[in-house]
Amino acid sequence: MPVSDLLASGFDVLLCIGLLWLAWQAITGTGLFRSVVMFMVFGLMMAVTWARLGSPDLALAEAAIGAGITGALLLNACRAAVSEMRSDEQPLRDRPSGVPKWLALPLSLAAGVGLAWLMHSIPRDGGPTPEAAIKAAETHFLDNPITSVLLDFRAIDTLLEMAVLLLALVGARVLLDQRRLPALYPVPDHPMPMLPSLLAMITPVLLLTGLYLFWAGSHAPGGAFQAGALLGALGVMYQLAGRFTPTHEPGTVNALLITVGLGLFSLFACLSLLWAPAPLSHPEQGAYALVLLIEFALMLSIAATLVLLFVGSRSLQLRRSTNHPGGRQ
Amino acid sequence: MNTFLLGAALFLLINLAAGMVRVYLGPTTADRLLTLLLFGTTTVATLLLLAYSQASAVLVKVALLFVMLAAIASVAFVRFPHETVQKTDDGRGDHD
Amino acid sequence: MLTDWWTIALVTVGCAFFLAGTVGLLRFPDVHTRLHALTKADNVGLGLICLGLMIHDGTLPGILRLGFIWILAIFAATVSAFLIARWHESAGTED
Repeated sequence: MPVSDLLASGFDVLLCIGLLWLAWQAITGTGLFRSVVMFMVFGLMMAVTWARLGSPDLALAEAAIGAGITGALLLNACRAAVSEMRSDEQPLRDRPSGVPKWLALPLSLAAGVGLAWLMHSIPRDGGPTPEAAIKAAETHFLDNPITSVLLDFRAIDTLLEMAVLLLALVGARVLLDQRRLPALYPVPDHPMPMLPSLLAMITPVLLLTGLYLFWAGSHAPGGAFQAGALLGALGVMYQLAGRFTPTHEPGTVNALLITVGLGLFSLFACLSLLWAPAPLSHPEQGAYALVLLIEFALMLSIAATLVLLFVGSRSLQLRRSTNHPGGRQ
Repeated sequence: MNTFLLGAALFLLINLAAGMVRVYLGPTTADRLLTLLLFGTTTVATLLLLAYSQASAVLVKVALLFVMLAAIASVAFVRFPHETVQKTDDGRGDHD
Repeated sequence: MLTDWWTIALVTVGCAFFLAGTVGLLRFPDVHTRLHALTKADNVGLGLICLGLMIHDGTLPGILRLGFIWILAIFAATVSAFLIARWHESAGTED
């Protein structure tokens, strides 16, 4: 066996063992914080794995979400868990909810059986095969096959994913309202040293990279999801630096940012019936501009939803600071 | 050349595995966070080596994304009150 | 090729710095010294690897990208090291 093959297999085997071990540690670890660290390391290794597997799109997404959002979100969860432990008045599960608990089992069983039945009833032979999709992508107006699958061949999946993201935010808000958690990350009394200069340096770089990934999505690895996650990470940074003030009144700009992706995509789905027999078909002319517009809206919504999920408040207002005005919301 | 770069990437991966021991030893929470710093830098180096050994330039962009977001975890961490972290970390007394 | 040897030499020395960083992380007695080992040695290692790959790449955009990655990495490491050290200090945890 040549040396390069030996090295490659050694690398892959070590990566596999490491991933399994990290996943096991993250699940079974005794300390919450240690589990979070293990999970974040797992994300880093996952990005290397995608790189080895030749899927740079997934590696980009993993980098943007794993490094930017997941860690901070899990640390938040840690904190919420502790504050729940401390204020042991009325834990959530003992609160009367009006729905009998025993209903949960049959309902989830019914949902599972229903899903299985739906999966089973999908015809195996009908529908486009992956090979057909890749072949069609070669002559598609988008050069990146992944974007053309996401926004053309399987556009309905992407549309529903946006709905899921919105539902996740609504669910998180309902939970937070019920638990009356203390405000996460209250605005610090003193600005933290070095954070303003970090923000000043990283903001233009992240904005530029986010827009580049969004633009590159049509012909190279990248796209709305990666760009949205990156901008979301920038928002998380602003929140951590105390530059956003959480408010209780849902603001117009915030609401607009959250819903614009799903709204525009749904509007396009309805309008496309005017010129095509099936929804979500692209028109003959101007398809590229249309995709760019929808991608842009998706990017904004993804970013805004991720930031609001992280903060857990109804909306955010940007605090003007003396030397760095700017930001997105 | 590609073989050499791949070998260097493998070396860095083994180096990481050794660094994982610190998550166990602790003893303080900050020590565990240090491992995250180690992983951040080494992952970037590994991705760069892989990018040139596999001749796939987009991996350089993945590495770029990682360095841009490297500071977020530390910033999120230090915004925590101390007692919160100590409650979520069983760092006292295991293994030493 | 002479440039290949330069790349091999620089990447090898870079890996040695990474090794030194890990040894420091495992062997040094307290958080501050470990932090010192990690954030300095590893970033020198990353810089040397970037330099070696720059020679290997040889195109202007590639060189600029690698240089930019290194500068950003140094910046992130500086901020992280400072914030963690400060947090640890104010926690007053005994080692």
